Amino acid sequence: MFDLGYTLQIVILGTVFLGAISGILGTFVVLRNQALIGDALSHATLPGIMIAYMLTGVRSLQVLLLGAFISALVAMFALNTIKKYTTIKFDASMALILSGFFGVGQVFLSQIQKTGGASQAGLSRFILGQAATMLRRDVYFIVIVALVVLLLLIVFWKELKLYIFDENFYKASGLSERFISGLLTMMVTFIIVIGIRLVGVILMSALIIAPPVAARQLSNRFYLNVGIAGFIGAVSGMTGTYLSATRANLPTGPVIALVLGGVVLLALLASPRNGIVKRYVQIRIFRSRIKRYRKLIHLYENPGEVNLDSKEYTYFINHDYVKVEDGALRVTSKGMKRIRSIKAVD
Amino acid sequence: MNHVFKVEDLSVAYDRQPVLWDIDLDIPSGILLGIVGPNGAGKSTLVKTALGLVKPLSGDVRFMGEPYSKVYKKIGYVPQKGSVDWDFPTTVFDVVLMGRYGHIGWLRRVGKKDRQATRDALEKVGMFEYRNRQISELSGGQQQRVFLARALVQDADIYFMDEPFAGVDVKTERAIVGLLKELKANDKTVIVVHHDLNTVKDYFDWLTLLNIKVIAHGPVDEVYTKENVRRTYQADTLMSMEREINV
Repeated sequence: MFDLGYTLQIVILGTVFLGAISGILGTFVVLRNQALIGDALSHATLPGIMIAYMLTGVRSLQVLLLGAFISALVAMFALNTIKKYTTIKFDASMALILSGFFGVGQVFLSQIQKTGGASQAGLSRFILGQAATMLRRDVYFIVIVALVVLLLLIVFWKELKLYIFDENFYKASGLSERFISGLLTMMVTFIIVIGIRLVGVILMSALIIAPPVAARQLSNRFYLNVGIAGFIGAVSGMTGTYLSATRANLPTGPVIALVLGGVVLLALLASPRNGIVKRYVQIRIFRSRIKRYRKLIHLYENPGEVNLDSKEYTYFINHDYVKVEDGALRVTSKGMKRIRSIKAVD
Repeated sequence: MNHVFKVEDLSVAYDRQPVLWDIDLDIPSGILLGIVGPNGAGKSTLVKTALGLVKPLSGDVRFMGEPYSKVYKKIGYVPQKGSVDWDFPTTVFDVVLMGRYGHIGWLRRVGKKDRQATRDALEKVGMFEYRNRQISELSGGQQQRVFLARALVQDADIYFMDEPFAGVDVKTERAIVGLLKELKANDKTVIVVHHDLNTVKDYFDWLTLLNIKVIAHGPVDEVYTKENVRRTYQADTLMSMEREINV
């Protein structure tokens, strides 16, 4: 690699795994139309981190992440309770949870910063992420969790796929909803928790949402969506970490989000499915053809009533689109084919 | 006659709004039953409750004397085609194959037999050439055929179909009717939510007229009378008036 320090290589290894697994799992989440849950959960981890620190006074990543994990579960429970017992719309309740938990976390953080000694330094890194200062064993921890989630995804692949495509049919097939939705929530929470140290609670959801959105533009197959999203996540994670670690003190989260934003934009432009470039080109072709063949179409629809200038006349005659028959201009079969093809630009 | 599906004292409500009220149904095996009623009569809810997708307030649903959780492998389901996102990145073949998942079970992989069943079902509904198509490229009629094929690979004894004729072309409608009759000829029981009164007599041999309550239930010739139909659709206007007053 580009003559990186050994530590940076390890950290980049961590972000590659994190990016890949976030994109892979994110495909399931986004296709289930639950992109925002990831965002709410990641913001909701902040108070847990702070409480874990306040209770234990240690800065071990594993302890803090345990706090984050519990905090996210509490948020999930609160979300479900609101859904069950109130008429608040789900997106509104997610926004409530997101801002409420994040606010509480920030209050705790500023309290700790006021009173705490040297050991509290670094807690604020959880807001926007800071990959460069990670310990090697923290990276290994991330890699292991990512591999466990990947394994779970492979094992429950077909059930997950059916569940996110057609929930009712899944249940009617006798498969357990409680298990699969619990599994999905658990996996999302795991990935968020291992990601917040690297990417930060604010932008962690970008790593879950952006790769699948870009991948959806590029493929129509489920497994390819998953694969492409994983690849985009890995590359963006790597690029973002490299840039943030080698430029003076850029937080990792925003840099990764920026890279991801660029990838999504590129995918939207270049998509063979419905890309902006493709549509623009199609419209241009259509317009120029209409301009060139306007009179030919007119002649076809109103035989005999057309005034061609000499340039048009020679062009149509030379291309065998019209011929003179009984002293009148007629559209040939080749000309008709041409007219039909104008309507079907592909 | 052997009763394969029995509903007793079933009531269902969304919040405090009753959707089904005190439903009793006895459905013998081997019939082709249409459930007909106005919008909001609870037709889909009845099917969903039967399949355990909606929890009833009270009452009991049994298949051959057993609860749904014991017999789900014997039951096929065609949900409303609008209930899924057809822009989901998957192919026709994959969707139909999903009908096998309940049989295959956890931790097991899709086998040769499952793929063969999928091919056969696609052949049967005339969608075999479309097997590798992305599902977003299908017409309404083709989507419905795909859902039907998915139910066929469930290899069931009782089929529930929720509006299989909604938004399909004439050709597909005829093909589906043919398929329903074939299922019946093979001793399957088919229960279809339907909304077109004009075709009731041609398509079904049993009929349930439903509007929150069961208005009439039995062989088509006995049930499909002007009076019963009038009561089914008139009850609707009464009920909806009551609803407005309640609000």
